[in-house]
Amino acid sequence: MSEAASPPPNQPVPPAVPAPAPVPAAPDPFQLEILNILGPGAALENVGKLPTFRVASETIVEVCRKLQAAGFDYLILITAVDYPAENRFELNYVVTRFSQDREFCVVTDIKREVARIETVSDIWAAADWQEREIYDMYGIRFDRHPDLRRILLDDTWQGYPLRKDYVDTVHDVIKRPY
Amino acid sequence: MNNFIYKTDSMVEWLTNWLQQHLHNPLLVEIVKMLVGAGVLAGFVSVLAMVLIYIERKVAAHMQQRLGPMRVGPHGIFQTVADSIKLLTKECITPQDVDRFVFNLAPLVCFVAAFVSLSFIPFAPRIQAVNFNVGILFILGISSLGVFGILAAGWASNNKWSLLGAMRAGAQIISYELSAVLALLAILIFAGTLDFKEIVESQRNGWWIWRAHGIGIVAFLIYTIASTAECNRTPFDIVEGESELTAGFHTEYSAIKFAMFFLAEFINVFLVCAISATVFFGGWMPFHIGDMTALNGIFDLVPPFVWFFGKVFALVFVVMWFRWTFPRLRVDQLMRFEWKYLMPLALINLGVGAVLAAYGGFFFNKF
Amino acid sequence: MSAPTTDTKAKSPTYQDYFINMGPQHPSTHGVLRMIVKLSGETVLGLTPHLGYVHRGIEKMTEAQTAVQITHLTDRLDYLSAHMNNWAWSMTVEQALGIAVPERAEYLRVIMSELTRIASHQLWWGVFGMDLGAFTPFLYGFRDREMINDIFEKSCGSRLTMNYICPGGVTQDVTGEFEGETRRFVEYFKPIIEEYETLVSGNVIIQERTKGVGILPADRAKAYGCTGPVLRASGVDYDLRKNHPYGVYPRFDFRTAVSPEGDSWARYIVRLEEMRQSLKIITQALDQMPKEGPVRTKLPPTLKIPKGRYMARGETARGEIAFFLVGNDSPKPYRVKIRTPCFSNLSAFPEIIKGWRVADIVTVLSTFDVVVPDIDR
Repeated sequence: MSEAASPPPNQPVPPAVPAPAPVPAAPDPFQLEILNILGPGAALENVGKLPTFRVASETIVEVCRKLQAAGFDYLILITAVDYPAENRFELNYVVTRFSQDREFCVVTDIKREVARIETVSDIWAAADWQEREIYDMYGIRFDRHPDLRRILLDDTWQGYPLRKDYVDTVHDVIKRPY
Repeated sequence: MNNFIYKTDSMVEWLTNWLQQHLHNPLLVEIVKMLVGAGVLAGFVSVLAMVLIYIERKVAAHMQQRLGPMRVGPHGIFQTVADSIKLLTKECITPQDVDRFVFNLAPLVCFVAAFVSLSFIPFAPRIQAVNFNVGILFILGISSLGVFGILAAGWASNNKWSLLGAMRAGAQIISYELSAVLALLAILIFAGTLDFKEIVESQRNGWWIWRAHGIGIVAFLIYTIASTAECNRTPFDIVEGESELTAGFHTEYSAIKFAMFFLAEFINVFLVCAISATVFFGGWMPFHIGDMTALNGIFDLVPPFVWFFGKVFALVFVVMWFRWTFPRLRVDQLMRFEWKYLMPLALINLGVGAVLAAYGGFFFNKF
Repeated sequence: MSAPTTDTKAKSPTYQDYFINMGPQHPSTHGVLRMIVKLSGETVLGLTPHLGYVHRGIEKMTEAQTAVQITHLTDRLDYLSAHMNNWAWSMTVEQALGIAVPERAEYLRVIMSELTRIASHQLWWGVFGMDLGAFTPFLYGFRDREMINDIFEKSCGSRLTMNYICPGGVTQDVTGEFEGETRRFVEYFKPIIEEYETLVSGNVIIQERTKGVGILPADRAKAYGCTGPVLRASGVDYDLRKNHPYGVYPRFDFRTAVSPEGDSWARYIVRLEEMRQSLKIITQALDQMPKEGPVRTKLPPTLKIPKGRYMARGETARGEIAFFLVGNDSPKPYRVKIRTPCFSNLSAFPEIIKGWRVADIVTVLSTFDVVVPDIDR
């Protein structure tokens, strides 16, 4: 499988989406608690309704370990978002406690051409399949992952479908105007 | 009672004479007689299997709050006929990589084993294809041949699931055969014979199930459980186990070969119930209580074949009832049940029965 | 109960692992789940699920559709929890756009969801019996599920993929017969659960097959992100309706069904108890529901999803469904990630099935109650 890092010139590039700019809003006690746990490297973004903390991609394992040590035992989901215009993938880790009624999101950016980050599957077992799915759909490699194979698509599938610049060469899809 | 002793002897005599007149060769006459007997039995078996399948479907349906087959004929009585025609006319598929000879032989082995066993059963006085002085021993031997058919089918299919099913079958049927035989032996000690006809005659004054004290009841329960397992029916249907092995040993079979397995299964059910009815419930013998001649006379008005088939179908109904009520055991639980509980119980039962029989501690002539 | 065993002896030079391929065409994988099973005799040495046989790319499709259109796709995730999926997605959109839901609609959502939960568990109960070799429960389960389907048909016009709950409320008000029919169903079904118990629960073989089989310890269940009855059967008291309340659930008196054993039997009784609790919720909701009123907020013709991240979580019959939505000020979402319960629940399955028999794969998978379209999306 070749990794389609940059779109071929003849393919349409989706409209650019600017990175969400941090909106200054006073963090509530829950968010303060998370900020305390995450330490100085994390920045709170209050865009949308889900509390989001941006961290550096190199520190993700360290951050997740801290969270787990603080009792955040429930990894709801991990997902990636593709921003080709800014040449980055954004990885979202949504975490909560089983005893908590609020969840929050830890976000980190990785470069599109690198597309590589450390796994957190040894911290939360739930991350195992979630990361496989991200690998399957975005082609992001997870270092130290025990079993990094495609999970939903066929092993021989070409390309990574959830990337914004993915063009389906296998199926003849009728492009509708909407 | 004498009204219902069928004049089969004279029929056979007439047939023999007629054949001798036309064929003039004693060997040929015997062969033709055998073929006629087999033909009659084959016709009976086919009809019986269809009836049993129809009953099974109706019993299942009514236990599950539905009607079952209703379209073909009144109350769907021709549904199984239609199904049989469909099965017989379907293309007979032999997968590419099977062991062809064994693959084709297996259904025959299964079918023949069941079919031959049926010829020893006394359906009514003098209605018995073969009378043999060690009939019950012979039946037990022949009917266990069926497991070879299953093993061969699983092996020859070249399918991993079939092989799993066949191996389960081998382990299960051979194990449960023991309990079944031990349970029957306990009664045979009382009856003092291996001849089916004499076993029935020995129950003239009461059926073995209660005349043999508790031994009869225990033996009957053990035999019912073990024979259900021998027929691979729920709760012991791990051989087919459609939710685990899809269909077990007959996964790769279709059309007439599948029909043979299917037929053999139903004949086996009938067979074990017939043995049970003969050994424990007096076969065609009407319900008699000691010397109450008046009462016995009333029961004698019912023809023997009605008694026989009534008993057998009541037992068949019980076996079907099991199937539509119980879930399936796991393979290790199944084996544990046989070797740790059922077989020791059957052995103890046999021992106690032997002691009782030796000291005459059972009612021969009284209820 | 036999304890899980691991194979140590099979090391002769001619020994080969026996691999069998379970699925995608297999009666007990509940759809097109495929598992490669490594066996020693009948003992499972390892199991690898291969997913994706009904992968329809719903997450990709969402990027080309508007928020209301996506509601239709959510029905097709876990088709037995269609209402709850609709609801979770509607909550996500409502959260993003700040839409308020009329009170009557909130109650209708609760009633429909709880009916769906019962219907889903009825179907599961029947299929569970069938997986264990008893065919009869299947038809009993379907007999009762039929009544719920009839209620759905009258209110939504559809029996499986209802698409009834939508952003802003529900698509249309229920008919006048709805309340009476639902109450009649509740009255009918209360004794039927006891019938279920007598038909299946008391059976020695069922208990032999399930008790102590496929134990999922609480810490592993939490680590794998298992939710729903699977988690609660491991003794974790976690139900989004209680612990992360949404809709009007805080107004109802019900308890979370929890069982500490973590085996297949615990998963079985937890689901039966959930049916009873759902009946309780339905009765309370019918009592409290405003008899009249709007059922749908008027929405603007185009729903522009504002920039940012939104997430709503809902408790389906199988566990937690969560929609993670990234908007970029356009009617179409920039990214929707669907966190489905079966995907996470199944990920714990290969670990706990090791050492059990082939027949236990079927039992344990059945008590996990996976719906394959929910896994594959």
